[in-house]
Order: sequence, then C-alpha cells, then structure tokens
Amino acid sequence: MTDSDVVEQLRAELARAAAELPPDAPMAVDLDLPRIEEEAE
Amino acid sequence: MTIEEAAAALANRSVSSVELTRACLDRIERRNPELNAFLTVTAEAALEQAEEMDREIAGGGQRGPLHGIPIAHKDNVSTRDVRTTSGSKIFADDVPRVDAEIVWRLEHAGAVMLGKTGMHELAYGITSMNPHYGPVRNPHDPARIAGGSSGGSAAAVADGMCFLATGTDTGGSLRIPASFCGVVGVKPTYGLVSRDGIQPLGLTLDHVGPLAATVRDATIALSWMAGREIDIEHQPSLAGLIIGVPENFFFDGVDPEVSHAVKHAAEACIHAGVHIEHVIVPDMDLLNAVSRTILLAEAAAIFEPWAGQRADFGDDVLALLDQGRMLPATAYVNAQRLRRELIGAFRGLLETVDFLLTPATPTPAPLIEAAGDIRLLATRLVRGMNVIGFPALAMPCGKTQSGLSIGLQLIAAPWRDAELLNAAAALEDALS
Repeated sequence: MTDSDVVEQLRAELARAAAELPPDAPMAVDLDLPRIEEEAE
Repeated sequence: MTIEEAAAALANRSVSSVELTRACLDRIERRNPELNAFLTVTAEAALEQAEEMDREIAGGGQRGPLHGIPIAHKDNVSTRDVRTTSGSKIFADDVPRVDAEIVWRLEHAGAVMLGKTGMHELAYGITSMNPHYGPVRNPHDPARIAGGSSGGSAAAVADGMCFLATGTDTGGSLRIPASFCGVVGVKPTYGLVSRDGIQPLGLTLDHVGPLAATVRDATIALSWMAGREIDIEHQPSLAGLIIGVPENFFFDGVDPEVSHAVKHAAEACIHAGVHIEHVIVPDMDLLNAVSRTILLAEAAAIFEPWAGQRADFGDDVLALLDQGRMLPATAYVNAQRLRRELIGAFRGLLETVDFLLTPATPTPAPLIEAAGDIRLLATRLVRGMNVIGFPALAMPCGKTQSGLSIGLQLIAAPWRDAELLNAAAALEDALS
C-alpha cells in the first residue's frame, strides 16, 4: 500500500464515521481560556 | 531486588547507594554490549551522586523510597549537560541546558541517574530497531525485539541494569515494551505527569510514565514523577470490584497463549472476589483510525522544520512523516470530533465497571527479523487509550511455553490512577 493509499483510507473511514455525527459536534479541543479578570489577578 | 526492598536496605544501612549504583553499572558494562538498552552511561556522575545520597543517609536523612536508588531516563527526556538524542540523527548532538520536570522531580526524590536509554527513533514506532543507534534487544531472548518506543527503558529494568526507568507513551510506547519485556509500564491519565522538557511527538496524545519491575515500584515512581501522593494500601484488595472483560475486539486474533494467560488472570480476579462483567467496548477500529490520523498530523507538524533533511530519518519514520504531510486537514478535524464522541462512549462504559481487563499486546515479543511491519498489530490494543486519555497499565501475567513474557492491560476511568494501581497491585499478589 502506498503512502497516499494509507492516507486516503484513513480520510475516507473518518469521513464516513463523522457523517453520522450531529452537524454541530465539536472537536476534542479545550481552549481553557481564563477570564480576563482572573488573568489580571 | 525491588525498590521497596532496596529502600529498606538503604534505610537500615545494610547496603549503600554506592554499592547499588556500582552493581547496576557492572551489570550495564556486562550486558549492554549485547542488549543496547543504554545509549549513554553517566557512571562518574552517578557514583558522585550516590556518595552524596549515602552522606545524607549517614547524617540521618532519607528523602523517601527513591533516595539512593539507581534509575535511567528515556533519551527523549531532557537531561542537563547530558546528550539527549530522542533516538534521532537530527538531535544527535543535542545537550540540553535544563532538566525535564520529571528529571528534577526524581533527582529531588534522591534517585541516582545512571544514564539514558535507547528508543525507537523519535518515539515514532514500537520496535526500537533504531537505524542510527542499533536495535534494543529483549533481555529474555536477544534475538527478539524489546518493543518500543521505550524499549531501552523496559529492557534495562527487565535485565536489572536499573530499578526504574522513565518512558513516554503516545500509542502504547510504555505498555508494549512492558508487555514484551515482562515489566510494569504505567500510562497515567493524560496530564497527570508533566511533559515539560520532553521531546513531543503527538501533541494531544503524549503521556509520560514509569517502567519498573513491580506495580508497587511503578507506583512509587509515578507518585514522585507526578508530584502527588499515590499510595498502595497495606493489603490492596480486589474484593467487590467489577472488572469488564471485552467480548468484542480485544481477543480477536490474539495469540492463544496470550489469550489463555489473560483469561487466567481474570479467573484469579474472580477467586479474589471480583465480579467479572463481559462487556461490549465502543468501536475500537474507529478509535484506532482516529489515533493514527491525529498522530500522523501532529507528528508531521512537530517535525516540519526538519522536513528537508530526508536522509536524516529512518525509512519507517520518514514514511509516517510523509503520510502526515499528505493528510487533509478535514481528516484531522473529523478525528478530533470523533474523539470527543468516543471519550463519551468509554466514559459511559467505565460508569458500569471499575476497570477493563484486556491483553496488552496480541503476541509476545517477535523475532527481530520478523518485526519489520508489526506497528499496527502491536499497537491495536493499546493506542486507543492515548486518544481518550484514560489511565492504563501493562503488567506481566505469565509466560509462553518458550519462556516469553505475556502482558495484560488494565484500564480505568480518568483520574482513577490510584485505584488502578491498587487493583493492579492486588492482582500482582494474586498472580504471584
């Protein structure tokens, strides 16, 4: 299997699974933003 | 001798740190030419440090159970004034000016650093067959791989070259070599141990943890590495716990001897008062695809500055970096969205059971000549836990008829590291 085959297989598998998610399903990313007042302290 | 036993012997002065350190250095001198577990040995500095630890003990002070205990660090962990290669050619001459946080934490605990251990190039693989520094060999059978990427650390502990070694785990790199070498490897909850001063690979997948001979030793190490009190009870018990044994995925295609040993461990749990629940785990094939996608993208981004130095990478690592650069951003976004869903699914499962019990690797350590393309096979039971960040450990649960180590994996809900280690210690007692 070539590098581009590997990538295409992964892309397609994730695209199929993600299509089942609600359209507004968020990413697993936590910005962890402090409030401005907390930062000032 | 375990860390617990050595600490007791140091406390009653029946042995000195210098004696322990010399014994480890002798072992390294004798065995390392064959096993290649250590890349760098800092013998002189280790003996000086051991002398200082002995002076402190003689003066009536003992910092804790790691005081005077010889240890090693994986070579992607920054050590002040000591070369830190990450098993790569691009960092071959890198000498950090400061220690990684876990290095100063363990030094503060009184541990004596013997040197740096070999690893898979850039921690991006699981064989530790390193094209720049040579293969790390399995102490139980040098014709076999030690596993990786923390292969040198696992081999060094398994062979008695040191009492404890640090490692990292992005897709199984603590648990796979632990399984292959017959030691304990702990991947704690994501974020429990600082990654400060450690070469990154997968920015949202990297974990740091210990490799040690026993669960109790690994717990001592993890406690000091994390800077939190994590204790094993005087007599840890499994009674009353509910342990989930997966019906799907985890035993598919597993070597019969591995499968038998893990099921035997489950029976030992039942005898110790555990209720075994047969469970269906969420979609592990999808979880593994998410893991691969996130790692391909994150590692390619990390090593982008060296993308032009193609000759400086081994073939396997270069192929993965190339794949990462080809991956569309949509795949990474979808992987991170699916990740959130899968975390929820696993969280739900671990509300119904206390722990999951699985094999750590589908096979025992393969022969070096057969280990060329085993990455996906060897990581399939462990890499998903890096995606969801839940704590997981590998520990020995028997041997094959030919004497190779077999490892099981125990998984817990996030931040239940202490409970996980107590259950593992009780299981270790039950299996001994």
